[in-house]
Amino acid sequence: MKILIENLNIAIPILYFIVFILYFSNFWKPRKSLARLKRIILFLTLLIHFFYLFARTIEFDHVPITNIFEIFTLLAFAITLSYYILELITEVRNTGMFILFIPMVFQIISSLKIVDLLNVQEILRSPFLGVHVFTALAGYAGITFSAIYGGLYLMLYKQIKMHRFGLLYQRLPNLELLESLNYTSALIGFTMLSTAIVIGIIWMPQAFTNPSYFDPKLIATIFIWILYALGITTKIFAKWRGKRIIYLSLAGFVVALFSMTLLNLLFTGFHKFH
Amino acid sequence: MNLISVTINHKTAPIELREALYLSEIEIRKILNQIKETLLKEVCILSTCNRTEIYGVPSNHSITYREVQEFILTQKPVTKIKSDNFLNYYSCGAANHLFRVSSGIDSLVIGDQQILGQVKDAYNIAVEENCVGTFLQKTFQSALKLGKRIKTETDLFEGPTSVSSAAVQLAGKIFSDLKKKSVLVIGAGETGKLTIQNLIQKNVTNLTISNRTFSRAEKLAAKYNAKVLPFDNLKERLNEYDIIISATSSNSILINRDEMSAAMRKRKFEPVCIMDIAIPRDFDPNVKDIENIFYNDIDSLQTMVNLSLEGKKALLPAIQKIIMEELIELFSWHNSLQISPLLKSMREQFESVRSQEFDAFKNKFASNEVENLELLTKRIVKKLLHNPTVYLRKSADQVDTQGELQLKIKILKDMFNLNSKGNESE
Repeated sequence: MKILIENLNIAIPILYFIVFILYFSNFWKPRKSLARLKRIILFLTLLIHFFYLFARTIEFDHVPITNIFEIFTLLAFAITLSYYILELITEVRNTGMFILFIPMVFQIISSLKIVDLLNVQEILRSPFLGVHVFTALAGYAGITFSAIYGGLYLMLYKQIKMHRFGLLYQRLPNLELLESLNYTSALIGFTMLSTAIVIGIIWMPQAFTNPSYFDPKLIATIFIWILYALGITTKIFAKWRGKRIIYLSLAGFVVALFSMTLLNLLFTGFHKFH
Repeated sequence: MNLISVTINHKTAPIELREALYLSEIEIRKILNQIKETLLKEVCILSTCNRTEIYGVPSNHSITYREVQEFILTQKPVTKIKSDNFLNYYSCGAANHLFRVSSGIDSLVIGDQQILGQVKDAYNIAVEENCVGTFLQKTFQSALKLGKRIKTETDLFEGPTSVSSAAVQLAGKIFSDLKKKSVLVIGAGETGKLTIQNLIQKNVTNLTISNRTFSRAEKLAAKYNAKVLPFDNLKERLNEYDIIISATSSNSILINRDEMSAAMRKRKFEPVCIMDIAIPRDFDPNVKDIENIFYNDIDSLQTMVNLSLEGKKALLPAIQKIIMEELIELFSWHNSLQISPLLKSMREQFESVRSQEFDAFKNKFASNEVENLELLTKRIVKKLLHNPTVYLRKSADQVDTQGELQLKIKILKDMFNLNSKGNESE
């Protein structure tokens, strides 16, 4: 089993790379045969990735959430699965190249650095933690989507305003749809993140004897939450449209990225367990 | 392939001549029946504003394009027309021309979407008039299949081909569902009308027309089931519309930047798409700097059309390849029609020789050997026929422009003395 996990650890980033290349090629040169192939390979990648996560859980006797690199592979899976569902339920077909770049990077970093921990603290086996991590990851996947579609909105907005009718203009979905994807993803991300924060705050005193509410990651997450809350409130009540809302979602994403990568690597708060 | 085509189109004749030769459906039906009795045993006529074309299988070998041209001109006399105004095609040239027409690459504007429907209508009329036999049926069905392939396998029919279609397509790049958007068309002239037609094709229902002369707006609105906005109320109600298409003949700017800013404030900066296709422009071009206003004038829309046409031209090699594939398929079918009777005759003759010889010699063998003997002779005949059959089928699969297949058929017929049995398809 361990050898299989090691092999999958090498194969999965390669599969993500192949998927990304297929989506990239199809963006530049749309061909129906390639469009079918890219979706099949994406599905297989997800299937293999799921098996890999399942195998790790069985082999190491804990859900792969014990260190940042396990979180990265889970996050890659969550973003890819969300994109796959989006492709299935909407007419959005040509934006995969922009989304799938992110899980590819997360998975490559994870595969390079991941460690196999056999003995983990009992606290990491708590079901509360499972829900907390799941909702937090879904939240991060949501705001990643929101940021990417926000970025694409700004690019297309500029192309149309400047009368440039090139490749981006031709391939991207319409502005209204991009704005709606940006907002819906932000809304889902915000709801999930709120749940993660609430569960985390309730559970923290039970799990730790002397928890600190000044953990950098907690502060960063609260800051992200405020940004999104602001965005959603202004969209609903002040009827803000387009660019202004999108700038807010992009700011939220930058902070989230900072929280997920730099803070995790630099600081050792309660969010760093090993 | 005994197919001829006589055509007059935008490449060979000016619009006056094309108009003069245009045939209505009633005229087409009449001519089809007359021409079938005299010149062409199978015939189909395609007549649009840009082309009039006759495709047919001559009743006998002496009939050429000249007789067909003369016949058409007797039915529809046109002065000043010369033989240079016609293009004439034969055999695979005629099929190739029909395929180019139905693919949309022979149209005045490359990638014209209407032509495939027009070819289909022409074919259906010919079928209704009993003017289509096996050959034209297969040829036109291949042409229609080709058109569908071009539609699904290439982007030829994507992208705008005119300023008005560019305007509508651009609006579709801003909004998800044009059906739900309110559209204002300012100006009830020809350009306004064309734009409305394009909008209707995109299922726009919430349509309002405003024109300086109210009665013209009313007339156009009645035709397209639209509302009318009095011209005097235009400025104060600009905020109500998501898409504004302006095509008036006004000599000065109708809406300035401040008026548009006020309208945007009223609609809380909800996006607006303005297509100013008037010359001179109806909107102050500076409105483009206002947030969430997507302003396009005729120049930017024309750029879009030009880009789209360039893109379509780049598809030509891929389209030619699809045309070639369909031509090969048509020719293989046609050739197989020619070799089938020959193969049948050959098999019959070989079998006749075998059975005669078998009957003559079977008494010289013991009764328990007769069955094996018959099997043996049958196997020998089958093996002897194998190579010629494969050879003929292979020849039939290739495009034959030099009449090579005919030559091969003739040699085989002479060689095995099959002429008396005939080859019905010729």
